[in-house]
Amino acid sequence: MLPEPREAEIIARLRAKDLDALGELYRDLGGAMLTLARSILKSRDEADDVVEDALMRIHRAAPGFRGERGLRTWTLRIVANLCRDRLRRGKFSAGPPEELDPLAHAGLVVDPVAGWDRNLDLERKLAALERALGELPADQREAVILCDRMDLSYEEAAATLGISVGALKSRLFRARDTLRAKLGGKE
Amino acid sequence: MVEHDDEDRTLTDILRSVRAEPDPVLWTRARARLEAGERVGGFLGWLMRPAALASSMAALALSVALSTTLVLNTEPKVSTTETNLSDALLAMPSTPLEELNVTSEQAIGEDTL
Repeated sequence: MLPEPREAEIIARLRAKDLDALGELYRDLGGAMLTLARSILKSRDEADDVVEDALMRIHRAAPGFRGERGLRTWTLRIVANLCRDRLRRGKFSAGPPEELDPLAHAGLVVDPVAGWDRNLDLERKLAALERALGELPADQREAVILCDRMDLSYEEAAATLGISVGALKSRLFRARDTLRAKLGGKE
Repeated sequence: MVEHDDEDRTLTDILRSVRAEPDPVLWTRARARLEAGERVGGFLGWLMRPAALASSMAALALSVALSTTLVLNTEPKVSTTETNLSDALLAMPSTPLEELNVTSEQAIGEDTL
């Protein structure tokens, strides 16, 4: 998240349609925007199109942005809405064919995690989890990605999705249950 | 319960280890698009949108087709011999002279009364 004075300054410059401010927003939040879009859409090209469109929309809508929800929430909300539109239009099938690596296809990278058991077949587990994530209903997938992958608070994730914290927790509960079952079954 | 928590932690650890790198090319492309949009702007920008362009082309094709149909199906007008004012005056039936004989009293008429 951006420090408050810097966020206020970027919002003011965005309102004045300053393109450099939009570049700074992308530098700070681009990773989160791409992680969200690529995780939901499972296609690097589609996700990159969505993030590009989101930047256009942010530039257009910035003069009316009052900053109540915070820049990151607002930005991610725009990305989530555009992803939903793409999925609704069904222009492509989410997820690569079985034989392709779902992470590489989506343009996602894996950071090493300290304390991971090296005996686990991590690559297989990662691919299985990514496929299971892609099979979740879109609303549950969004919740897992925002809370578990991107580490947003319940409040911020709920505001990003435009739902109540209770509804978010319910989606998360069901999604985690499904993922646990799928991963357990595949091992 | 402990097993459940462990499973959840593993799940979260795996999920959290995956992310996307910001792509500088994407920003370059977006910026170029925004700058091009600002340069063009206004009506021309609207006209350049594919949907607007397609509907403009459709409207043009329709109007061309309509006007061609009208031109081809309209009977040519019967041409008159009068091509200018003097021809038109010559072609008018002449007025008998008696009708043009007006006395000066009649000409002054009742206007003076």
